[in-house]
Amino acid sequence: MSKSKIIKVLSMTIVVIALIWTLYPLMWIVFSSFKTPIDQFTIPPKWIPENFTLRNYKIFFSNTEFVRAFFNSIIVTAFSTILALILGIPAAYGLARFKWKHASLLSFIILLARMTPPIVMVLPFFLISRILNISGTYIPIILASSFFSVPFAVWMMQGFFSEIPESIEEAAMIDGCTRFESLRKIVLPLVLPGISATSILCALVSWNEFLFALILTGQETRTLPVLVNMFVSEKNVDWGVMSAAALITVIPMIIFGLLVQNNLVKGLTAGSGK
Amino acid sequence: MRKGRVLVILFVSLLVFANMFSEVNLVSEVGIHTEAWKTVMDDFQKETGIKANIQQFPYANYFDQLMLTFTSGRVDFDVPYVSMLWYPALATAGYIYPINKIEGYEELNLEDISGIENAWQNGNLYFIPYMNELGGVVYRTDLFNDPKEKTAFREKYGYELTPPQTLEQYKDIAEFFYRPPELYGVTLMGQRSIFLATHFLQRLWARGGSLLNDEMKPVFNSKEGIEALEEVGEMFEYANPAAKTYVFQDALTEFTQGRSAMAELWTTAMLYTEDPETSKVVGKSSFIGFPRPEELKDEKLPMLYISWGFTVSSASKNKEEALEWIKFVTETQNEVKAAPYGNIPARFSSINDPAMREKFPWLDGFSKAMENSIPTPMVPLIPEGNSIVNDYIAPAVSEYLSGSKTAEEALNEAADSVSQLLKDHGYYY
Repeated sequence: MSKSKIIKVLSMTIVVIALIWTLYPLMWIVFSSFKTPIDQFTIPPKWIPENFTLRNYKIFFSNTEFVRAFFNSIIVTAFSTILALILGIPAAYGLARFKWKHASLLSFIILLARMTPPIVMVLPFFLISRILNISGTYIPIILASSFFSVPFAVWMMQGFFSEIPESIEEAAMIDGCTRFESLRKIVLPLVLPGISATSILCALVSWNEFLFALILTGQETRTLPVLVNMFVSEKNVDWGVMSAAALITVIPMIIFGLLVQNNLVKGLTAGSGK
Repeated sequence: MRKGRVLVILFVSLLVFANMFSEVNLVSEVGIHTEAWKTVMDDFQKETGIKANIQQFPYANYFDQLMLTFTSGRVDFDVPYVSMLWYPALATAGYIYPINKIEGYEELNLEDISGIENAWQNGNLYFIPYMNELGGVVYRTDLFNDPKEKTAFREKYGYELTPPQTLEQYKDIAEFFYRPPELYGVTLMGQRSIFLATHFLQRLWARGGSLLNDEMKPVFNSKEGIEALEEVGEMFEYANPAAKTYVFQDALTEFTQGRSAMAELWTTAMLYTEDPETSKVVGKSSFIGFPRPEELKDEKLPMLYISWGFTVSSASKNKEEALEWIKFVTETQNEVKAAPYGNIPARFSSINDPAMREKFPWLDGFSKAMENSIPTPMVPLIPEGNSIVNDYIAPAVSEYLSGSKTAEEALNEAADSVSQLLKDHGYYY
């Protein structure tokens, strides 16, 4: 066997192992969601459901909170992503373009928010929202989600802006554009793949956010990941319904990921090109 | 005369008008007993004109949500439905209000509620139990009634195979049915948690021992305590080796899958074992209170008691409506009506109701155990209670089971730590 063939086989094997490693829990959830409660813990365990059932999905969809939680997730994800971009893009542009005395320190401080363990930030967010009388509304959870997305957006976009030669902007300004116009008409279209990649990753973070959503949302604003947790009670866990709920929760993001995968790959590659 | 009539009409209209806007806000976890009492919320409104609203939180963070809300000072509920173990901390902090200070509380028939004495602190009543259960043994009636098994048991042990009433019988039966890997003698909960601690506490109490004495000094490292802990270790020999990682949910699953003859669980387990959706042993199981040593068989001794019930928030502006709700939901007829949806009622009159007995025949064993024991919460009802059991007792039991300490060493060390904790908190010097 030639050397290149051996490398090919080895690579394929590693890819298959990585795939199994990644998809194993997801497959377990898929199969469990079609099992009856009795079949969840048979000994020896059975991967494929013996008595295929849609009971778990029926229970989940008949939960009156499902539709509301689904829309809440969409609202929180959309607004926190938009907020992250509104704040992150100008900040990243400023850090990439202008020479500041402590620019690198400032970048690092912005990243500190991303490094802080979420559990540390839950209580201040909760207390502030209570004091401002906005607890249980969308505002605290949107702000909390974007709290972690903004530093991420800043860091990602800073890389994309740095890649655009300053001379392009200077040329635009010589032709009569203001700084803002050159940013809007020249730079932003050039970093569009980067904006797509950043927004996709910010949306993923917000959609899957659990800890803040658990503490900061109320009955009316509860998101899907919190709803999944509602099937764990003091003495029992309804694994089947939980699995169905988990699957329903990840499906929109899988579809979204598949739709935008080209932009994501393009954006990430562009970002790492420098 | 006409003036009087007008006044009466005005008064009645005012009452109707006021009731139209009366409401009470309830807060609870997501769980089967909450689902049960939710079914009578509409009846409450029809009968009293007071609208009951509910907000529910996932069980996992319900207590944290309550505490955060109370500490923030912006409490938007009137009636928190809580575990009995939580109310001492809430009462000490002033977050919940003495129910006996609300006008009309005398109408609650407290005599009929088992374990009600645990709901009083410093002369005040803070908690009205709605769901009551005991720690005991759920067992497979099909195995216990099987003539072949009965004969084999009699031949081996020299007495009849019956649900265990003494600790000696309990151990014999566990040994008899220990037939791994198909069947285990007993299911226990071995993960380092409050569940593991309950196995020790039950045996300590069954021997007449206590956690703390009247001066709040730890006494669980007594001779009874050491024997109790050693017996926990012995019983694990007849359990699935995996049981050392079990909590309640795992233990329940093992029993409902038909993989053990007995399980040391709580009464609520019966609601799941009798559910055809989740259980392979429907109609084949029952409940008995925790066994005692032969010589103490007929004594009235402490038994593990778990209760959930209603409290009234101190910040509530609707305390009278809150009391109205509590009176309504804990009435015998309403408890009986809600029970089939997933509750074991707190009132003796409810658990002895003929309709309830027909629906849940196993309530007989529960009722007898309740009448013949001193219902004792699994943690002492002081703010430090949870810490004593979770942070000191459970690790001590776990260390003994893992073989890293003898029973005496593990309990002595735990007792020293508890003593220090209570000293630090000003219980003694």
